[in-house]
Amino acid sequence: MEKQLRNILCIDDDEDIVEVAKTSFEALSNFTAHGAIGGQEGIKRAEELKPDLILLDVMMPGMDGLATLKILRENPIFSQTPIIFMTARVQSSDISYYKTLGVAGVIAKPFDPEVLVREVENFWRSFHEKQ
Amino acid sequence: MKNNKNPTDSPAFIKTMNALRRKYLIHLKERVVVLREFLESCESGKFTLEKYEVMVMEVHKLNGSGAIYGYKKISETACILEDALLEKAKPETLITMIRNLLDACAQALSNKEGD
Repeated sequence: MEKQLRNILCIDDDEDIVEVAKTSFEALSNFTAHGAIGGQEGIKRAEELKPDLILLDVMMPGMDGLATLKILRENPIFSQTPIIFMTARVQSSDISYYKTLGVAGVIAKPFDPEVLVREVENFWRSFHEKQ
Repeated sequence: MKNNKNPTDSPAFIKTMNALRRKYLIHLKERVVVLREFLESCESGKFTLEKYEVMVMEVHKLNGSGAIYGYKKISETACILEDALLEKAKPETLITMIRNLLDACAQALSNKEGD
């Protein structure tokens, strides 16, 4: 039986993105959404919350999405947690590269709130089908 | 609110999104100030390599969030400018692009309902 998605952590350096993502998940889905601003805070919040899924922005100042992903994956708690990249720069070569890093999916920004929720649900489903 | 037929049409969701849009517009005003400084540095020939990095981050945010809040022109013009910045386009090339983005921001700030 597929594990149920209960809580999600959205990590982005842009508060406007974190807020709209949280609102979308809270209003349009049955799972709880949390937010963190930037990679460092994201790692801290992930350790506290142990989310079922992490939405992670690629381009952030300081610790970017790739560095954040690496640190999260080094922690056994998150070695199997589906992580979805969000990016405003969607190029097929980038997407192929991200997939080699083991991300569960890539979501383009800007996104439609409804589409965001649907895409996360789809990535969650296909991630567990592959397990 | 959950399990509505069209949850994005629900008054509660619209109310929350409108509150978030107001916050976005406050942040946008601050970003316009930064953009104006970039424009000024391009026009005065004081645009340095370090400024590219700072500006890419600012413009990237505008690209990623504008259309979510209903301001497609902000995302479109920011995307064009971001591409040019990543290619290290000459400051004089950036001037028109920054102005286009500033126009899109001004439109958003005057027409708060989105484009």
